[in-house]
Amino acid sequence: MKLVLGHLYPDLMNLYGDRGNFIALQKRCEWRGIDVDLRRVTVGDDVNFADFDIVFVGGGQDREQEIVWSDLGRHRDDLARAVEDDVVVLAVCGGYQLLGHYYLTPGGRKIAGLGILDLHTESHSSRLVGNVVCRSEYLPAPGTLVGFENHGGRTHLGPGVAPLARMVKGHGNNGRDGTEGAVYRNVFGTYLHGSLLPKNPHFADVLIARALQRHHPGAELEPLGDALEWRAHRAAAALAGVRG
Amino acid sequence: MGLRRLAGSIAGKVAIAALRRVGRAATTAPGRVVLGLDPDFIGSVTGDARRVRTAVTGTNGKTTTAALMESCMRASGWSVVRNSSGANMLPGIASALVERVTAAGRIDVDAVVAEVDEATVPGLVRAMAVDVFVVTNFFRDQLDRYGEMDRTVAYVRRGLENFGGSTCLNADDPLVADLAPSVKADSTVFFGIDPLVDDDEGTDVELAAGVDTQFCPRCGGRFVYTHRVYGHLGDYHCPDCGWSRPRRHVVGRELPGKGTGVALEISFARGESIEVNLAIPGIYNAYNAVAAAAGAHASGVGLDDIRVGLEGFSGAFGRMEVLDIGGRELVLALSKNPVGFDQILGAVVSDDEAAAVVLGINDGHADGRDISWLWDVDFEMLCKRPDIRVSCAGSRAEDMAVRLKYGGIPAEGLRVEGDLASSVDAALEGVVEGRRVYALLTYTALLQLRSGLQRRGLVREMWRG
Ligand SMILES: [Zn+2]
Repeated sequence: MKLVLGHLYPDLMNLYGDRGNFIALQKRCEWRGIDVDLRRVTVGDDVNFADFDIVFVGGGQDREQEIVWSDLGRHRDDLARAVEDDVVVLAVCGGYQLLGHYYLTPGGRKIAGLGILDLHTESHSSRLVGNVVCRSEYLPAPGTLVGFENHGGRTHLGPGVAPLARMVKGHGNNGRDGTEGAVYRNVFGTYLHGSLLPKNPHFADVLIARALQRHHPGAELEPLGDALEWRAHRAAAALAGVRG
Repeated sequence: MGLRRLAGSIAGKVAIAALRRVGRAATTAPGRVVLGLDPDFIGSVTGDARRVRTAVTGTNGKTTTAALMESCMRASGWSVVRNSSGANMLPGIASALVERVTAAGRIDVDAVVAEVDEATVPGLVRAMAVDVFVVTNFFRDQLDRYGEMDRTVAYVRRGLENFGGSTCLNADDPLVADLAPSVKADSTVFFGIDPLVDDDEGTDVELAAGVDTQFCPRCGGRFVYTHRVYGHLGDYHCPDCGWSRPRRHVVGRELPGKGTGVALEISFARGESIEVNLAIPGIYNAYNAVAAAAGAHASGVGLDDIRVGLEGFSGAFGRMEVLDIGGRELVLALSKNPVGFDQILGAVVSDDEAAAVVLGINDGHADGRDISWLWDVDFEMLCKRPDIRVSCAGSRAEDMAVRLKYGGIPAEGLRVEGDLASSVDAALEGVVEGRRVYALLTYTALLQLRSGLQRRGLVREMWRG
């Protein structure tokens, strides 16, 4: 078995160590004997999203994000087709915002997004920062997600997406409605960045399993020895003041 | 002199004495007391300095560069006050000053060297008449505090816009060099390094996670590097808008080294040059030395004194500080962001005497509460040395351990424990005499470990360090 992992704009959208998510996906495939083909896609590259099983896009700074938004527009239809075909996408922070309808800058300028997720984002001068614990029905037991958020954007979900999780501790999408992230088909958007997947191994495995099941219906993942990962998961929850 | 300043000074002195009696380092609290009583304290007291008021900022190398500048000034026979403990916001700077205030409420020094946090630059420029400002580099650091690196750069830019002295800027760092148009003074000194080996060979730019900036800050175009020293430092130009590395006035050319330190030929604007054998290792310390040479030169220190000052310097507090503990060497290294961490790990894996490494990772406010940056550090290089025993400690020991596991460092037998002091003790016990233990620590972990060692009488008190 083989999975093709596409890392979009690794040179621009890699703020806050999002690279950790990519390493986690790669290693957890390799430990199970699943071959991994890594492809990096950046500005100006030609890309066919149907070639990928999992697409990852991380967060960037405003300046770098604008470079990406102007480049990714030309791939919009191709990416939308791949999403309808159940390609797995994990989009974090800026990458998450980019998949929505639009992003309203602090200066009131509206930057069009790709419109793949039914949501929009308004920028705010105060940032939502801190450790996060939330609970997701998309994950097997214990169902908790732990991580760190740091975003100025307030994201509001439309009826076409479901929230990825409900907040236990932290701010989430907008600090008001208790939701975090968004899910549509196999697309997962979240504000939890950096070392999200390494200490949420069940989330990493959900992404890998969904990618495999597209071509191998009923495929199950071999369990791995994740004692260290769960220790980090529980420690992160405890630091946020939650029993994990 | 105002009564307010005298009252502030006395209160600060009392606070220092009280804290020391209970065994705590007086790094910021006295300054907070003084500034509460006399908000103008820093400006009025530094006005007494006879020759020069200097400041150093940037992500990495602030403390070492400031210490090297002090060393050059002392070689010139000057007396110097510096915030040597690394407490680099206004209360930390005020604490260092109040320590040196005389009974008459004055400071009797030739020069002030202030290491200053990037976000505090506008505040310092308002508080003190800085004559010489040195900017070392901009890398990602403590992002949850400042949001984004662009904002960090903006703080420094805002400070320098209101500044009339001379500015020493790292020309090899495009984010620093780009500050030049914001600087009012026409006396900008650009410095840089020409390394001995061109490290660019075989570097996959996309894989180099430590590279923060590959894009032109002026137009967003992709930089072309004719050579790279490390990270995004090097000789860059932008094909889109034509901007390129500015011409440099102070250049350190690396020479084939003798011993563990770096040898440099530092040339200055008027064609004069000095040869310097640094006692401290690593190309990042070569940058610190050239930054300090530029700053000291702009302050009026002569070239021969700069040479003596740079050569006589053996390490700043917690920056590869070597301690002898019962015949075993413990090396303390502040490791707080990917580029700095990579440099230090490189030094560790190339040290044949290295036997153990303790990675002490805290997520306190001063460390940056987000530890995602651990995933941008190249811990994979520890795989080259399976003989080095690794342990993880601090409030984020578990995250550190997971990072090592995914970096291919065997997780079995890996010691993971919150308590830093006992991890370090265990590492030292497991090492034969003559071998070395490295403790790579975030800022609060460094302070914790050091004050523990101090209580046990194993290191000098920090404020005398
Ligand atoms: Zn340009």
